[in-house]
Amino acid sequence: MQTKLQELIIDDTFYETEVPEGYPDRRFQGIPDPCEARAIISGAIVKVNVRKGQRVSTGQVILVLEAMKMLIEVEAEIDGRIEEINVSIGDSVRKDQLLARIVD
Amino acid sequence: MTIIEKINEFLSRTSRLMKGGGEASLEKQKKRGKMNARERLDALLDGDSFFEIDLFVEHTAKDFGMKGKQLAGDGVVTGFGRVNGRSVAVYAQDFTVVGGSLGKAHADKIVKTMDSAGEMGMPLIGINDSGGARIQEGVDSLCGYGDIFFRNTRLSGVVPQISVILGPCAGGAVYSPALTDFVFVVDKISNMFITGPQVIKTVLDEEISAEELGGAKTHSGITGNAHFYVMTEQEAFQQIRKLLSFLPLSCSEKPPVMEDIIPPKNALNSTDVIPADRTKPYCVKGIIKGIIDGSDFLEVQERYARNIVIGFGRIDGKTVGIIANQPQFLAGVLDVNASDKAARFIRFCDAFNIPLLTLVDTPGYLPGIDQEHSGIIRHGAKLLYAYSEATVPKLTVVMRKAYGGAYVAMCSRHLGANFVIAWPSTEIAVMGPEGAASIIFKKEISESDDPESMKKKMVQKYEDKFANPYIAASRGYVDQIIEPSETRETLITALRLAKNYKTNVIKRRHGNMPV
Repeated sequence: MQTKLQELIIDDTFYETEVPEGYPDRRFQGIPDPCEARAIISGAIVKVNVRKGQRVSTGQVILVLEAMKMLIEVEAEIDGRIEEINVSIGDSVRKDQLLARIVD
Repeated sequence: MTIIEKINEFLSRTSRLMKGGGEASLEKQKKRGKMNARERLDALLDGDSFFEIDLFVEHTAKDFGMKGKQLAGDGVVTGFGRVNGRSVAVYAQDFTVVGGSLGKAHADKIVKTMDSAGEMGMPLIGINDSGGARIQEGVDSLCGYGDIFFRNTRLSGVVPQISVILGPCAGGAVYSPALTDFVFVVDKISNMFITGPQVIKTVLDEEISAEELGGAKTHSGITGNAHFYVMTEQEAFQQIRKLLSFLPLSCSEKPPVMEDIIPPKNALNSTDVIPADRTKPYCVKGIIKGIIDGSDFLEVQERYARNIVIGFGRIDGKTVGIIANQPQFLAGVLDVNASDKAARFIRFCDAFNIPLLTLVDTPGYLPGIDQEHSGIIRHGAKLLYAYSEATVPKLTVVMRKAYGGAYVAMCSRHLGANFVIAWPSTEIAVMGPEGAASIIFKKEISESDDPESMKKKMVQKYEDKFANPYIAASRGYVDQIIEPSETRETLITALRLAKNYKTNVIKRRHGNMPV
């Protein structure tokens, strides 16, 4: 196995060690952005309830995705306005694809 | 019919059944680069020791053209045998008979072998090579799976259970191996998944090969479902034989003791076993091999969560289960996968009377959002639980860093270690000097004209005072401080002292380990 020594920071200390590829960079990790509505699973868009510019509130269903014969409601995670909507009815989407963006 | 005729009929029936799915199917199996069920049992067991049962079992299914269809042994060969002279129960699914598919009679044969393994107290080895449920038998085949899972669970901790995946193992079939103690996979032969690539393609429109989705590499490196990854079937059987040499036949026995004790090939020398600088890496397997008999270490889950190393070795001829932080990989931190890996191994050892040897050099639990959100609290707790619960002798050697919660978790005195030994390079502290100094001396550092050099000074101050084994030893949390070169001898003595170690097993239905 290839050994690539890198640095891993724990409690302010730089450790020289092997870090596997794709391992999250501990210094710059992000948490999921609540402004972004992403597909949690690959599937098809069966319903679009909002248009660009429309105001939405937390919990409101903005899109419906069908995957594995189930309807999955995509909700707004924050109150705001739809800034962009990237899909329309019938579109196939991949897991993690950005479907819509909301601004405060 | 004369006696001779009766015997001839018996012989002709037997010879037909011994051919499994017939010459053509056997040839096909060979072309796939795979051994057949009987060859596999021969490779696993001592010469001529296979003692077959249920060769004449037949299915009773009637629907979908099954009526009157003859399936040799119903697609599975079952019985007993010996490995290094010791008894084992075995079954091998026969892919040449309707793809090794599992029908009711097939499952009943496996169930019978499992029940015998439990009743007679011997390990169970299952060789899996099956297309899955026999669809024609409908719910009866599901009943078969359920019966097997039930027994895998009931046998857990009673006799060692080993699974070898030598072909496809899909859908419900994967859960029997998952419930057993050790899973062997062979490169380019083993496949395990709940839903195969075709289903994933149809339902989700995602493309992936069977190998990438659930091949031997995937299960040994990514999912952690497999414990041993080998290149050939032969190698798998040799490894199983070796693994069994470390284990007792059942929970009511102690592991076998080797009479010939070979010293390690490279004994530890005191001055250059590990770098003094806490941030520098080294491979902990070198230390393990410098301690155990003949440097003979059988590593488990070698490719998964490499920041912790687990496996079997012997000290003074006696089997020990070794758990060691690996500074070479991710600095030896404890994370979700490492905690899971070690906890399950500790529980196996505890179930089968195998003393635990823990080698400690870890900076702590891995900080970060992904770890927190992956449930490091819940997973990390398993390590605490498994060590605390274990009632076998527990020996701990602290080599270098043992910080914070990870110090406690790595079989500290507080979790019931019988002997805690530390090397002079040990640093047992609540955290590393850099982190601790920035918190304790925050004010001094920020108010200084030269915060950089002030921090350095404070780190040094903390290091001088706390980065050593003496504070922990002054409280009795460390029993002995020794030079690395004395480690093997010290452990031999400690193991002998702990020979009759008994602690109360709490009377309860069972604990509730965080899973």
